[in-house]
Amino acid sequence: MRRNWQNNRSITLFVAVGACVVLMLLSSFGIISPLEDIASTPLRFLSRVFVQSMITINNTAEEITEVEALRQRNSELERQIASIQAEVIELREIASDYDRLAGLLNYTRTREDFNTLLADVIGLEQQGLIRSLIISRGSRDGVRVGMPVITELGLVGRVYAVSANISQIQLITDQNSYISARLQSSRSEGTVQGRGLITGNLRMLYIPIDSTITEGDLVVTSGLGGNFPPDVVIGQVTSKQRLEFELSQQAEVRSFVDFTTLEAVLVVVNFEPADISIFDEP
Amino acid sequence: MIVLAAAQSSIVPSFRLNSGQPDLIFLVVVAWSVRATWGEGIFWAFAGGIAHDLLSLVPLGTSVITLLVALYVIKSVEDQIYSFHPILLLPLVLFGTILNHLLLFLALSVLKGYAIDLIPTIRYFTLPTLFYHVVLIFPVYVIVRLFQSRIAMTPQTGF
Repeated sequence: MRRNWQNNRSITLFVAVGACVVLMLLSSFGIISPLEDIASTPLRFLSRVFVQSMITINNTAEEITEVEALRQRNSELERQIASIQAEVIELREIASDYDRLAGLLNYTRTREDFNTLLADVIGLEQQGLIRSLIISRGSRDGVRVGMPVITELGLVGRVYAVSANISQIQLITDQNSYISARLQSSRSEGTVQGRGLITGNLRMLYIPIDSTITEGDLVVTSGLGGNFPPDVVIGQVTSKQRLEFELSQQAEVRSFVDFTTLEAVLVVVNFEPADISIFDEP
Repeated sequence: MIVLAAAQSSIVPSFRLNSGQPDLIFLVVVAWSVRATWGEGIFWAFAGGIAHDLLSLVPLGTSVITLLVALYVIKSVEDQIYSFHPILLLPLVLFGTILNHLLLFLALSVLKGYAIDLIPTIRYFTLPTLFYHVVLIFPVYVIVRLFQSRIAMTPQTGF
């Protein structure tokens, strides 16, 4: 029985393979090409559908991958921008420091009579009535009470208190600051008083009644009283005031120094204020 | 078989290893034939082989011969043993794949005039295909068995 099956199977295989060989030959010579075309039409259609689906899936997968890659690239660029921005800020700071220090250096060259000490402003007191700032130099650096503090734009104030490594400066804008001054053009004397304002507004008092005051006149230290060296710029006259019942004139003076943004100052260390209290009557 | 043939020419090439790719129709016909009758096997061999060849450049019938020979070997082995263990699919698939490729080379070179450099072709086409077939035959067999159970096909003794 089994042998019969095997014989039948062999015969069937032989016939089937023979049929296939005939089919191969017919196909090779293109005899059944029209039939092949007709039979393959639904297969090609289905294949095209699959290919389109595959393309869609591949494109979607690629887009997802690209989106992820773009996200990574974006975050990388953001990090780079942040780094570059930090670098730019640092460089701007350096440039700003350079400009400021170059200005101070130029000023010290013009005032060769001054022996100055560069100090950083480490604190700015703008609350209350007192206008003062703290600098990074103290008695160890040779700073003494009363020494003038200047910038290339003019007088800033004077040393008010000193510790070993820091000093407190009374600004010329402080209400208790009085400086002997003179108008550069008319040489008229007066006293510049601070007005306690954040801005650099000052007032020049006791200008002789017969003096000519012109707006824009430079106001410089006179050196009288021995508290400040002479000819240090204080500011510029912005307006004048003359009252008939007064024996003197007043002028509004504006300092060139921006006291809110001061970062470095010069302490004139070779100037010691004169102590004239010995002439006071007992 | 039509769907498989379409997938073979569209989806499967995406998974090429060098030039080799799995032949889904070959795997399914082999896996199906284990539990099918001789007559049923011949039908699927013809259907699958012709569907396969219609979408390829090889002459029509080339794949059918391979599938028929593989089917014949399966049935012959089944006759010799008490039951056909699925592990026997492994040598069968190896033999069938090599036979399939030899026939393909022969058909292409003799009937189509293609020059085939045998060593690189075996290295880059046959060996990766063998790898795929060895890896895939068991999952395909399991799926085919599940499918056969679902359609409640009763194995018959043919001829």
